[in-house]
Amino acid sequence: MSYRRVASRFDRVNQWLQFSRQWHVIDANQQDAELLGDKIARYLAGKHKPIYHPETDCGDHVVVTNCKDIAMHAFDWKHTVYKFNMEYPKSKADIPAWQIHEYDPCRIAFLSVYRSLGNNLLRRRLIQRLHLFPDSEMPEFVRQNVGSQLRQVQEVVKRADEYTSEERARFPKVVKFAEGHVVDWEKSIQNPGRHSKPVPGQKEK
Amino acid sequence: MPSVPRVDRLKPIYTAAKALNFGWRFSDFLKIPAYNGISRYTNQLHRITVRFCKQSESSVGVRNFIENQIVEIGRKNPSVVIYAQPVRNSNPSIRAEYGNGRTLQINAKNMTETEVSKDFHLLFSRSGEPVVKLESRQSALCPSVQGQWTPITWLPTAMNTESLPAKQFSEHKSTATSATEYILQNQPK
Repeated sequence: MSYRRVASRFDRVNQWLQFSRQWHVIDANQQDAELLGDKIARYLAGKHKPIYHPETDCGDHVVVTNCKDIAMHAFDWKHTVYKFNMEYPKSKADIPAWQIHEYDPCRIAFLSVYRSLGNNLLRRRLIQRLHLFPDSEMPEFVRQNVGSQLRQVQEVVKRADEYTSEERARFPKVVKFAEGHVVDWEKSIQNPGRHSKPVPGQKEK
Repeated sequence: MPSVPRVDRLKPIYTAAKALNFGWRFSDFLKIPAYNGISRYTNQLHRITVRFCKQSESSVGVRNFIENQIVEIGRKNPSVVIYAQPVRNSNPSIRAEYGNGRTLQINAKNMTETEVSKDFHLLFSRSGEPVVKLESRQSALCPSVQGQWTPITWLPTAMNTESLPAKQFSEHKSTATSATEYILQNQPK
């Protein structure tokens, strides 16, 4: 009495599709590095698929754009220290996150995803399917491959100086400021850059 | 040895290969022998033999079981042959033979009537397949009605016409209300 369907031509092609690699794109603008890393690692390993099995090679490609605008919580840019120890004398290097981000705007995204993939042998292969771009530009062949977009892990907040004066007037007054109160977020402050100690005897440029 | 060899004694020889497999196969997939129970159910237990001693203390439970319950069980299950075999000075045992050719035996030494009854029912309800750790929790005789999953099964169809990345697919969705939204919804007086 058993009913067994014969695999049709359509079913066979569907199965090829089932194991095909998908390309996802995600915008890292103002996204927390750890949350984003967790989400991307999930897709790189293929854990979002119902067919997932640790021994099945079902991971997807993930394209991350706007890596330069990735965010960290509170003072984490200063207090998150990445340790690069090469196990040789004088090779120890503990570099804070902001310094790495200055050197390479994509490196923080890479490191957080690599950490989220877990300490296993597969992660070196899985990380190869991660494509990081500092801004919204990407090569044409990557754009053509992208077939789905992932939702961000956080809401992108609007900066104070991005509100127009009309929007500001419409917003309900919660606090009454005193006369002549200086609002420090009227204009975004320019990044003063890294402080460098002037060397005595060096000429001014 | 009797002049005419008994068939019962020959059976372990041709089921030897199956018996070998019985011990070390620890995990298997869930399956039903011969699609049993799809339209009608056939008990996989074919015959069951209760061996006991008529006088020894260790078969008291088995003897009580035979006296009180076995006739009723036999009446309820006409498809199963039940033997009660008295063997002098032996340890009592319950031996069950199944449709797949396997034999299971339970040593009923010093068992009470209740324990014997429990084991008897266990042997009745088994299929003869070894008890193993299941590799998957479910099995299906028919393929899924839904069809197999593909990467595009749950993909929003709105993504087909847009060129990615697009802003409307990127926005984070949340049920939580932010402070700004709260103030805008409940304006202070």
